[in-house]
Parts: sequence; structure tokens; C-alpha cells
Amino acid sequence: MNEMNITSAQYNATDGTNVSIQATIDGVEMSVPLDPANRHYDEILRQVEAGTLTIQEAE
Amino acid sequence: MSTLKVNTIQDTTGNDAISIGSDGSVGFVQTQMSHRNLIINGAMQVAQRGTSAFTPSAQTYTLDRWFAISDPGSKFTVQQNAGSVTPPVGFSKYLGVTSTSAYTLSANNYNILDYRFEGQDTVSFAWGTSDAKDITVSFWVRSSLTGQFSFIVYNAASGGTKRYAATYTVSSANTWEYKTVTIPGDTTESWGSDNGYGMILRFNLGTGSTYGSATANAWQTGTQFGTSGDNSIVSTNGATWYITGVQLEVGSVATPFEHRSYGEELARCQRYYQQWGGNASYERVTVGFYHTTSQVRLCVPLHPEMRTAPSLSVSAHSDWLLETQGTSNSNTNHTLDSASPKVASINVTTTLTSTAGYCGQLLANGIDARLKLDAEL
Repeated sequence: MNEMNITSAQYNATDGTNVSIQATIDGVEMSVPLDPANRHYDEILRQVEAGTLTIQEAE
Repeated sequence: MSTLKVNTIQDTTGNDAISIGSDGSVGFVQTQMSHRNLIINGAMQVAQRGTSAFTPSAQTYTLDRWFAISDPGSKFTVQQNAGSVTPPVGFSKYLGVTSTSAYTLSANNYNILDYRFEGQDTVSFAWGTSDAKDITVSFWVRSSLTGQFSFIVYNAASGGTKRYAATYTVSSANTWEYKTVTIPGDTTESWGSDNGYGMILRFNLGTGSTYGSATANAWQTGTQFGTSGDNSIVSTNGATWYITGVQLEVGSVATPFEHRSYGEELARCQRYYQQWGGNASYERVTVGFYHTTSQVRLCVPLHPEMRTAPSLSVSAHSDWLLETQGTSNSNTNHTLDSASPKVASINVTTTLTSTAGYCGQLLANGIDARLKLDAEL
């Protein structure tokens, strides 16, 4: 219930360190901070844990 | 002229209700005199995301702090002052829900409107303790349908299970009616107390049997958020359900709606959502420096401090320009470099190349440009 529809997720990196995730959530491209209190990041982690989402490595 | 000299007024069971000091000062024992209303934007004044109709294809924030979910999607719209009816006396705005079809609900369908509290904003309830206090929810509602409706309050904190389903009745179609419901405090379960989920206030707009069979006017556990016998707004094409003046306060009495200034209410909303753009065609937002020849790093201080590090989105990357040395060109990407509740650092990739270390300024490329930071629950 109340799941976000996340169709893509890829880390953004600065100087080789992952700093955020570029994700398409409910049809909107978003840049999501790596903060568990952020609802988007929390849902990304939940879907990764559930095996329904994979976060691509940064380019 | 007559004078009543007392120092305490009690309720019928002997509990102090009002204390009067020897200097004439007055104190309400159980009810705050200000900041009573824990709902932000209960008068539906603030609509940072816009005043056009929202159609939740799945879920979306609408007017500030009000979150709509439609399953299987797009079964209703939400708009500030939808239908342009006259609001209740003392209000200028309302949140209007309009059904988009005569939808037949399946068992697992749900259509709802949420207000989501931070846990730390409801600790005054003392819920989960023997001192748990009653709360009272009051609001103005107007619907084209008459009969029973419901809302629930439920514990959305991690591990929370408790919920209370409250019913109310719309007696006359298309008429503003004032409703109050008092909910007894919960003494048994731990409720959130930090910046994460606390309680959710959820209005039922049409829910199938799987989630729509809660026991009315009682605490319970489970996954229900509607009661049997509730009207379904989404099941009548064009049906309307309008609401404003939503107040949730500690105590068993519904006090008059606590009106706050627009500025104060906007600032409260900005703890959860802030955006730039829309004020001028080439609105200048902030400055930064070329981190590389094609990427500029911008710093955006956040005022007020947000609930948590926010997510970033833009209306469209090309809606924004980068300006340096007297010329500007469009951007191709905006990503978070870092973020905290106090500041967001944004990497902007631009088609306007320059020398690393040079200054660059972010400006809107038209009145429709938006840069959005979201720290909602």
C-alpha cells in the first residue's frame, strides 16, 4: 500500500563518492539524498530490500 | 452589573478547566490558548505547487501538507476552491475533491486524503502512556452526497498498529456543515516522537471492502481506513467533497478555528516543501561556481530549516539557464551534490561552458520554471 512507482535509480557521484540517487518516481525525475529520513530514499531502500529495485552505479 | 469572584472553574466531574489568578490573569488548564491547532494549512490557503487541479495517478501532494492517493489511479481531482463555491464564513479557501467517473470499487481499491504529522509534533498527546489525552478533530465539509463518511487517525511510526475510525454524517447536499469528533487517547502503543512519521489523519473518499471495514468510533489494530456504510465519492461521476477549517487539538472540546497569518502558515509549510521560480520570467535564484568547464555547483540555503534533507526536482532541465560573463544558455541536468535540512548543494550541467572557478548564476527560462525541494513525510 502506498508504494511509490520507481522506474529507474542510479547513483550520482562527486569525485568518486556517491552523493545522491537520480530516480524516476511516480513519473517524476528526482535527485534523492542518501538520508533515511527522506521518504524517497526510504522507499528506494525498501524496494531494494524487497528485491524489486536495483540502484545502478554512477557513470 | 454583577461580579463573580472565583479562582477556578471546574467541569461537572471536578476537573479544573479555567484558573483565574489574583492579578486577574486567566489560564486554560487543559487547552492551549494559542498554537492549539496542530494542522498546518488547515484553512487551505497555501498552494505552493499550484492552483490547477491535481489528478493523483497514484499519489501526490496537492495543497500544501495534503496528500492524495488514488488506487487504481486518477479517480478524483484535488483543487483549491474547486467549483468556486462560497467558503464558510471566515474562510477564503477550501480543498475541493471532485470525482472523475462513476467508478465501481474493487475490494483492494482505496481513495484517500492524508494529513501526515511528524512524531515530535504530537508528543503533547502523551499517547502510549496512562496520561494519554483526548484529541478533537473539527472541520467544515460540503459534499454533493449525503450520508456517512469517515476518517481515521493511525499510528504511522515504525511498528505502529493502532488506529481509530471516526464517522461523521453529511446531512444536506451542497451545504457547508461543521463537524467535530473527539477521540480518546491511546494508552497502549508507542507513537513517534522524532522527525519521522507520527500520526496520520486520513479521510476516506472511497475504499473497497479489504480496507473499508473498520469498526466505527473505536480503537483497533489492522489495515483498515474506512468503515462499512461510508459513502464513496469516487463512485458517482462529478461528486464533490470540499473541506476547510481543519483543526486537530488536544482536549475534548472543539475550540474555534485558530486562524494564523498567511506568512506564518507558508513558513510552516516550507519546512516540508520549498520551490523557486514562477515569480518572473528570468527570475534569478542563486549563484555558484564552475566546478568543471560544464558543471556549476550552486548553494541554496534553506529557510526555514526543512524536516530532513530534501529531494530535488525541476519542472524541466531546459526551463533553467546558467549565466556567466554576460551570456546565458540552457541547462541539461540538475542533481543533488549534497543536502541537509539547512542547505542544498546542486550540481548543474550546462551547455554554457566556461573556466573552472568562474562564477555562474541560475536563472529561470520563463514563468513556468520551477526548482522544487521536497522533505514531506
